[in-house]
Amino acid sequence: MHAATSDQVHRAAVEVTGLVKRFGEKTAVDRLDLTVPAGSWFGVVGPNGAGKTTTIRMIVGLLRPDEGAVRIQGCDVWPDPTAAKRLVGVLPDDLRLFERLTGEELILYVGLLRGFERSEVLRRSEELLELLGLRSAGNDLVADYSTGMRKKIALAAALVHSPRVLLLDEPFESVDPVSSKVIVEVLEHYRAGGGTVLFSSHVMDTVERLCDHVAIVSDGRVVRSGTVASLTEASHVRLEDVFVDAVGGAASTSDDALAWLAAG
Amino acid sequence: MALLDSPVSATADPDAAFDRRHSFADLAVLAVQLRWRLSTNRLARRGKRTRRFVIAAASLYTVANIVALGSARFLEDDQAGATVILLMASMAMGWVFGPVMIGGVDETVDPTRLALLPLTSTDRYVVQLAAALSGTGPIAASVGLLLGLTFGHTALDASLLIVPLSAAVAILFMVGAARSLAALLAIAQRSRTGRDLAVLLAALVGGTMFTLAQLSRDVLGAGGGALLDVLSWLPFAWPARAINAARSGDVVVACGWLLISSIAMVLAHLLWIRLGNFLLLNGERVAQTRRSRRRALLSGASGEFGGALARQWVYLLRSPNSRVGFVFGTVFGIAFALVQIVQQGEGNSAAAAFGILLAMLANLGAATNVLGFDAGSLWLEVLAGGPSRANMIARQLIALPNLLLPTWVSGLIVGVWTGEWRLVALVCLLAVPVAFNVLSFGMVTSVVSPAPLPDWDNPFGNRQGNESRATRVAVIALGGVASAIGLSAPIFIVLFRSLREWYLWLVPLGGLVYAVTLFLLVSLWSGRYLRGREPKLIERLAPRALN
Repeated sequence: MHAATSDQVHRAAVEVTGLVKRFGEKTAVDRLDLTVPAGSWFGVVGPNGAGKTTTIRMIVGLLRPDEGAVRIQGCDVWPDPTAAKRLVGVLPDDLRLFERLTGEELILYVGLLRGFERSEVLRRSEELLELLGLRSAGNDLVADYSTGMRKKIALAAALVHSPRVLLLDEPFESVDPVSSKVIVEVLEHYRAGGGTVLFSSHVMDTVERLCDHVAIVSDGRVVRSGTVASLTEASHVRLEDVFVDAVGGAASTSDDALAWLAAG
Repeated sequence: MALLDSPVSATADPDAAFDRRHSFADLAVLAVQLRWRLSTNRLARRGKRTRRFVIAAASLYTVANIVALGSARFLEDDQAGATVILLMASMAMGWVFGPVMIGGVDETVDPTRLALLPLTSTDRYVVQLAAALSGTGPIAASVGLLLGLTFGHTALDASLLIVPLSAAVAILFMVGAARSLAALLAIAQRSRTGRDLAVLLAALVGGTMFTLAQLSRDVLGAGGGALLDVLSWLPFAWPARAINAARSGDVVVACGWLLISSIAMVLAHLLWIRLGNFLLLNGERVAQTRRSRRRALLSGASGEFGGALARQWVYLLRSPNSRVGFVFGTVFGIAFALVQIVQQGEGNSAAAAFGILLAMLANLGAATNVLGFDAGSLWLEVLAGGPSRANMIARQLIALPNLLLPTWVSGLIVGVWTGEWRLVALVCLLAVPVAFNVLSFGMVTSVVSPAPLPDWDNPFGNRQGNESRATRVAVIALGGVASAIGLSAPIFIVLFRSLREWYLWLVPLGGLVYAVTLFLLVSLWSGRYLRGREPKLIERLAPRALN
């Protein structure tokens, strides 16, 4: 776990107030408030369907909220998310990449479309590919990449402009341990220089290991939030126990249930 | 690592991190480069033959347009006017509706791929417009239009200015209309109902265009003037009217039509921008509200065959690929059968009734590559010891509605048209054993020569396009027709010998017993053939499942 410096903690990288999103009759995000301190490693955890992805999409300007406000480094995301997009790097859940570009070309065009000089983008691209273990696959089409490679190339594209805040939606899902380790190393590197990482996950161990702050989301609301230490140390429990307690407890199974699974 | 040793600090000067702003010209150049990179990567992957084909097709199309439009210089005024309207309207229809039927060709169509970049809606518009104009097809069409029209329809007067301007407006209008339609369909496709409506619209447009193209001689012969009148009032033909007026020296009318065309063009582009923005910021709304329907579909299934059949049925209902294939197959099957029947002329009711069986031809693809469709779920079958005979039978049987529905609908139309209900009913019944014979042939090709199909909705599916499938499609089409005729020949021989016998209506039943027996025998063989080939099958059809 990494503690943010006191100066960084007092500045909010992301502020979310009263965020609401409804899909038809379902309220996916229900008056959600969130403050992500600058320089922190912030985990948003919650069960499937809790509203994590919807929240992240609204934070980064990909989905218009019905109510509420989002500020990134003091910059209002809505109604015009363009300025905020300059400040953030995003690894979305559904990776919509240019499939018929090579990995190297993808980073190049993302960098160029963000307004960087070609030589600078190429330099950064080379370093990112090297660091993410994609150098040998740099000339392969993105369409041919495995799920882990797609996540890594998308992370490279999210980092190429050196953003202030990095938002990652389930970055370790479907990723093998080696790729996960590489991604974590890159993120730690990024954060060590003052960047803020916000990521969603439902893997408690990963969140507890990496994050200094956490928000537990359930039914579209933040039900617990704070530093990981404050949530776990007071009652000497693990984050998973806090999570289960916060979202409604584990399912009970009778002795007869799943008896058919017994071997032999 | 210099880059990551010095990431942007949260305490640094905020403006230092902001990306440099682009000029619109920079963005346009970048978009053109991006579009060409995507196109060349795609062509490089497809091999020399495809590259040559694309270059030859684009060159031919350009030259054909230059010749057709330029020849107006040597034609009578009426003929020249008709040529311009017909050519420009058909080009616009192809440009606007073509991508609807051949989706996934141009990745720059999709604004969501640019969603994470700090581009304003105007920036995005510039990028997409430049990309839209710089494809091989648009360049070929634009060069053909500009050169052909300038050569064929200008003199040393105002037409020298009005004609090229009108051509440019026509090109921009086509781009705006095409992208607006694409965005509308993308919005529709966020819900299942919307997607079905979009596919149905595309299929109907495609079917109509196919029918018109096939019957163009008859249509033009019967009332070419009327067709031209209708076409000339469509917005696609307004620039052509400006060109015709300019050629005739009627500058005021020409300017009027040019103005109206320009307004239509601007409206199309404004609509495109609005729809693009809507798609980016509200696109998920419907998709997340429509789930959990038809959960009970699998509840009645039991056993290996029942489970396989139920799963394939669910796939037919839910998989976008399968639904699209089904709707297109049905519409084109009907169109194909009716075109062949109409071209035979009136007065041959028997030929018309038997002609409905041709509807199956347009749907051979559904039956001859059942492992290629839904390849993403192959790994499940392989883990369970398959794909077994039961899986193959289930996959083939789900292609049966694709063969029978267009045949029966064509039968209804022919029945109404000819009044030969008895014969039509008999052929509709015979269609069932014939369809089983097609399935038998399809099972052989499905296991011997399965072809990968792209499946964007399945994480284990194949994300690549249909590479080098033209030869396979041609061979299978010919083989399919020959096999369906050959295998069904005994049924028809018995039928023709029984036309006046009391047991005539038992022939379809006997034919069905024969065809199903054959089908089951082929399925035995296919189950054995697949044994031991499963890993290769996954590697070929669903490579992502191995990652």
